[in-house]
Amino acid sequence: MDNNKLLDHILRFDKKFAIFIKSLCILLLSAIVVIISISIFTRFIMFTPLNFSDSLATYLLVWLSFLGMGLAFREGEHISVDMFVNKLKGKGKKTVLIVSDVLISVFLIVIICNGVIFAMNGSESYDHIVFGMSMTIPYLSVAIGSLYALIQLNLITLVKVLEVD
Amino acid sequence: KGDSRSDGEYVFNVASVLSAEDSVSLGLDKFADIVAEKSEGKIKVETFHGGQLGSDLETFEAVKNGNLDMATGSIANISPITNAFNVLHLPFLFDSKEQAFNIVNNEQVRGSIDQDLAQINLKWFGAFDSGGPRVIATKNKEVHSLEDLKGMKLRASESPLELAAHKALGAKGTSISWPETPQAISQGMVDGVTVPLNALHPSKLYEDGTIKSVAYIPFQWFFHATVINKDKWESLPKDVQEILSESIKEAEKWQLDNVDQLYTGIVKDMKDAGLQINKLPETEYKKIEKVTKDVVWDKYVDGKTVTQEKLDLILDELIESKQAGDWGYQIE
Amino acid sequence: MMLLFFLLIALGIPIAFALGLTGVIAFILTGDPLELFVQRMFTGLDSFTLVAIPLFILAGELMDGSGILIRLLNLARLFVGRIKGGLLYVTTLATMFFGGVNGSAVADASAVGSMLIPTIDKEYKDPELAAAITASGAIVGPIIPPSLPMLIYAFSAANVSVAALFLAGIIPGILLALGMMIVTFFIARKRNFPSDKKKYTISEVLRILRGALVAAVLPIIMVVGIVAGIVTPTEAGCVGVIYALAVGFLITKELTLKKLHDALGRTVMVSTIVMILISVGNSITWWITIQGVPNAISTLLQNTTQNAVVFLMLMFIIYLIVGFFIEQSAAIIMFVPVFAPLAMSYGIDPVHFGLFTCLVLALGLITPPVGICVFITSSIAKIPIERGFKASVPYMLSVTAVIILVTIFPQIYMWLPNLLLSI
Ligand code: NA
Ligand code: NA
Repeated sequence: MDNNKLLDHILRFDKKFAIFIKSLCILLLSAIVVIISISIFTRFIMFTPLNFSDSLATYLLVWLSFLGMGLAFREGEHISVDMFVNKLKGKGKKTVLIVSDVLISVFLIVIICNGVIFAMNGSESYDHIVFGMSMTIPYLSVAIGSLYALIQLNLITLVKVLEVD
Repeated sequence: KGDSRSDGEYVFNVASVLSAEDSVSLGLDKFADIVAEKSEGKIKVETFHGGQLGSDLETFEAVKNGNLDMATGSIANISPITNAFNVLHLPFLFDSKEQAFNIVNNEQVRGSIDQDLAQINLKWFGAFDSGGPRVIATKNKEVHSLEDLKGMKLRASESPLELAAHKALGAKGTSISWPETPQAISQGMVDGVTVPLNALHPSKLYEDGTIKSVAYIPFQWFFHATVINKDKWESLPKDVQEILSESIKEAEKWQLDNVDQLYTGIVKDMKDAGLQINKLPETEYKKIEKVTKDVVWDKYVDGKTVTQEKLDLILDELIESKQAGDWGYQIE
Repeated sequence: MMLLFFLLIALGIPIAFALGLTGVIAFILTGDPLELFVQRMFTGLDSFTLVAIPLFILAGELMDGSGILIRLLNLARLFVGRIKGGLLYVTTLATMFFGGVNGSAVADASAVGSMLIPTIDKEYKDPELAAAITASGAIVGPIIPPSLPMLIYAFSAANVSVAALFLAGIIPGILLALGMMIVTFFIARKRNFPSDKKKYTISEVLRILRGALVAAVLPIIMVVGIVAGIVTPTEAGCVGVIYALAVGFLITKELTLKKLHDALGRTVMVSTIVMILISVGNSITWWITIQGVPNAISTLLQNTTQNAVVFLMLMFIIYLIVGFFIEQSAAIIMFVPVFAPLAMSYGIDPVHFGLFTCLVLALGLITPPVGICVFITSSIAKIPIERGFKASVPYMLSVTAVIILVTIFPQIYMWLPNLLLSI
């Protein structure tokens, strides 16, 4: 009974969170389309290439990719081999779920910590082409994306583990 | 692996973006050989060519953050992380190889640039000739005058000074990383590139007619610098530092002495394959020089991108060229 | 390390993260900086060329949503519907065509995959085959010019001309596709796939042709645009998106805001999966390189044989193993600076070695455990990857046969670059 209530809360939070991130990713993707379209327009119709468009689109894609990492956990889209795990039932399945959760979490935590260092080290670097932006902004994508992935992964594992019961 | 010191040995990993056959890479290999010889194998330099460890900006940044020992790359591409080398990339600053390397090897100039590099934990370690100044290589349109450059789209490095030079010429610069450049030219994103003459060779773009002609306007000089992490350098014992310093000096000299012949051969090879190289009339050249210097120097000697102080230091030390316009290699 | 990697995969850990964990442990064991691991994850994605991937995927999704796809398929059915499994041949041709245009197998598998896999599945009830045929077709694209891996190759190897490599790829590319169609022929016969019994009236034929006209404009714009050097693949992808939007909203009026939202969501998902693999792969590549693996293999080879044929045989095995784990372009950047000069020292023609390298590493895109094209198509077909790989085996064999054929008899294709470039 308690478990069900907890599960409900988690599921509701999880859903809201995921909708927000997904909308953000869709926004980023739309922005890429718009930027490249404008770039094509300026290049062919106005004969003045936009210098920043290519780099900007690339940075947006990098952000999209790292943010999408967590969504892919939620929707079970990451490519994996499930044939062994699917054969397991009950306790065995639960153990494997928790072990892989812990392992991936360790990886993500390593990436988050070093990602923050990496981003901070980029604070004195600038992209002259994209409005002289500090490189911390694109660099942070790795850490933030991994942080969201960490949260999402553990939420989803929790749900799965509770479901096994 | 950077700090690995096994059995009393020192290992240094050096990244370079040019292919293993390029003169800069040969210079680095020479450096590795000299170090091995002088230290009787105690110090080992491992070279990684052809961008195996990443682009120049990427590897410079790795050295800066203390994650890689040394990196070699174009001073134009280091500009996102430091302004230290910008001054040497001012268009029409030098008019011969002799003049340029005299400045590069000047103690005071090195000291001043090193001071700036120290702020981001780098030390300037070596300098190799990467083929002299940029010239203008084009796809379809031939360039014979300043007028011809109007509205042309040119590929630029990461350097704001190069982008500004393109603008001053009436052209439009687009920053494209070097590995993506051939595709950009063949797909018509740009009408041409501004690179040292020999840099056209590895991509063989002139063979299939992607690049048809070169306007020989040596307008913007640069070289390939090797940098080392400053903390790493200072942590080394004096004798190791000495061996490394002496070895790089010898390797630089070896490269500088041998590079002219190599690049002359490359230019001849490209001409035989059909690349057309046009020299511009003196009046046109002067016009281009004036318009570029007027715009770019004015705008970028702003105390930030380039400081007046550093520029004055260089101008004071600038020797009279015995042969202006001589960049080492022959084009005739 | 490899054992660890397989263990993690068996635990059901997604391949990208199994790769990442293995990499992080490798970095820690050798004392390599973990910050660099993150830097490489970033720089692996920091390339404008990759922007083409989501745009091609989105264009594919929208072509479906706007009804362009169904019109193209009606046309295909009209032409080859009477052959058993006709749609399968169409798929191989489509992947060859699309990949031929954009030069990237990954973009190809995503684009054609999202367009054709659902239809093949509907038609023949065989999602595994659909995934296999699209994945293997996708590797033909980058062999036929223009080709992203070949551009990268020419840069890494220095002494080879892009034009010659491009020309060299045409005939082997066609052979690859032919080989796959032969395989398909036997599969279709064995399973006795249905052929279209439908009789068309003149007015139906005209309607199909008219419908296809709207659809055909798009590929033509993209092909002409890229081949004539007007637009980059990324821009072509964007043009595709705009065109599909325009057709869907204004001409067929089949596209709705809901469908658009779904297409964007799908694109986010599929691109993320691909990009994360590329990203983590880029970090691993660095470690393998700095460990001196490429240099060590090169020394080993030199000490083993002086014979060019033996050398090529050994290279085939090495590239095959490399291809098990590492994506084509990454492998080229990592190994070619070392192997290309080595091949020259054995007196092997640089163009021949270049084509050989691109071909064998292309096979790696469909071989397990890391076969990015099969990953993509399996994920589109919604089947477990092991089944996707299993269905791909006949195609792997046909690709191998073509590689062996052109490696032993380079004269089959070398005459083309030799002829055209000597003029
Ligand atoms: Na292609
Ligand atoms: Na593989």
